[in-house]
Amino acid sequence: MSDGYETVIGLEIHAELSTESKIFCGCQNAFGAAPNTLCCPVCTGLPGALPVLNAQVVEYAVKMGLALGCHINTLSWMDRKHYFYPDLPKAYQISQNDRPLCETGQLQYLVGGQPRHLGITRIHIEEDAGKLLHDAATDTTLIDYNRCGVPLIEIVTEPDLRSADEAKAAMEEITRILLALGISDARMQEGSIRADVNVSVRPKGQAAYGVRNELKNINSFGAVHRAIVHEAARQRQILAKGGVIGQETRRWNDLEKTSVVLRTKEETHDYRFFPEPDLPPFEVPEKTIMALSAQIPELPATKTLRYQQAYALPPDDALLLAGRKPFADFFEAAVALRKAAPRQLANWLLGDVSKLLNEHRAELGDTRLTPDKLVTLVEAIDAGTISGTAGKQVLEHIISKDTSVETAIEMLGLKQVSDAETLNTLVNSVIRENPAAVADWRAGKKQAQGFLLGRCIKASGGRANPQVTASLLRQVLDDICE
Amino acid sequence: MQAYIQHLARLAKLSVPNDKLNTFTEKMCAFMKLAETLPPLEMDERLPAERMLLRPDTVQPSLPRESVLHNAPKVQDEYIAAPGTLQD
Repeated sequence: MSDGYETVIGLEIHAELSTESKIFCGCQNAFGAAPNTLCCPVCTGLPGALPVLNAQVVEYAVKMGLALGCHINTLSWMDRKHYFYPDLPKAYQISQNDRPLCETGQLQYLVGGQPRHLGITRIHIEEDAGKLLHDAATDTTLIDYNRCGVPLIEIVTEPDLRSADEAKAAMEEITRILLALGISDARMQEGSIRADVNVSVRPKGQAAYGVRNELKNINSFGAVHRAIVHEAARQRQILAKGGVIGQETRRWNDLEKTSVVLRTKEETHDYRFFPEPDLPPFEVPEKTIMALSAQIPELPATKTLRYQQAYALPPDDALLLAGRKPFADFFEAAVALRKAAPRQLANWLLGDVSKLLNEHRAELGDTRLTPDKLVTLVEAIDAGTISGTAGKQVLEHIISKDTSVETAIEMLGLKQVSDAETLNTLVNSVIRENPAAVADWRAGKKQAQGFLLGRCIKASGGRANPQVTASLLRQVLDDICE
Repeated sequence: MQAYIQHLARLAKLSVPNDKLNTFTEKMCAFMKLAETLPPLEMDERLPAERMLLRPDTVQPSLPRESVLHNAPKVQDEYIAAPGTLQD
């Protein structure tokens, strides 16, 4: 928007970690279990129950911190954050306030194939709260405590984002990193990743930030984008009329595309943080940090840029491949076998292979397709052994069956016929059977040649080599005319 | 002090009737006075010297649902039922 204002956005992203057990107790960390079946005295806050921190949670959070180039605090501790709400049976959440595990990092993400950077303020660990269902008919709140104690990381960013597009792209990249590290399933539809979005607006060129409003608990990339666009426009309207923005916490309603005030500045929560007395401080030894650091893979944005540069893939295709580890690994293994045609391999993976996976609701790893087989298939098409259309049939076969490309071509009878003698016989018989089309061609209707070629391909059961057949057909037609 | 009591009550979602405000304020002042008799902590002693041992990520059995719901004042289907509260 070029109205003299600038939008300033910061994110607080909560991601559930995919550990086996919860953060402070041995209850299973699972989504979708029957209500109140994954609870124990610790996660339901019964008096006398003592929490013990899960080592895997610390490891996963440190990994995320290292991936985002954060400083890792070797000494850290948990704090109590107090609030009264039925989703939290203890009346406090065990979180981190004074000394988060990770501080001051940077996220690299891409907008339109170009790199951008977002400052990371901190990453801390905490427990998730229970799930509430509101029964309007009986004015009752139904509580399921299964989610209490599910481990979360909260990633707090600097207010470096300037548009809804940037915010959405940054959040998508964080999701891809969580998946690449294997520390969260990042399923937005299951609420395992959610964002609070801080939005303010200021006159362009002004150094001080405007008054910010916080939009709570947004759980899809699209909703993040819509909420920011709406909130920025709302604030601009107020400012344009000479009004004053009040500091508020708002709830975004994605169905109605509106937000409502939850709390004003005067009602801001007073969480009364203090160090958790039940959990002493904990250390993350330097050697653990070093070991975890060695496990950080190439990040999706870096990989995307590499695919764009090294293989000349379009930005969108590069991102689609790089963002999904099984696809990226498959692609690179295939490219290593056949360096000449990465773009062709990418097209097959993102096109027909993805389509078949969607149809069968399968993952790449569940199939019988290997990089070697895909390369052989592409080479068979290039060499003219089979047509592109036949290639799709071969793919359908080899994706589910443990057969080689050669065997599949043989079994399905798809081997392309390029032999001049066989094709000549075919062309002559098609010409004999279609005198009207030949007459049209003689009369100057050149499209008749396409019709005749189609007949030839059909008569061969799709096996006639189109290039060789076309050239033979042309020759025969020219001969007739002379 | 009365304003502080009202603030605390609001945070705790408790209602303090006006006629009880004086009593509560007096009691809270007495608590505070008692707390002030405790010896102060030096800031550099704030962190305990002991370090937490972390537990391995292994699953232990949870409680049967009947036990989880046993102490709830009200239960509806498989849930604990509380008075209607709007999500924030």
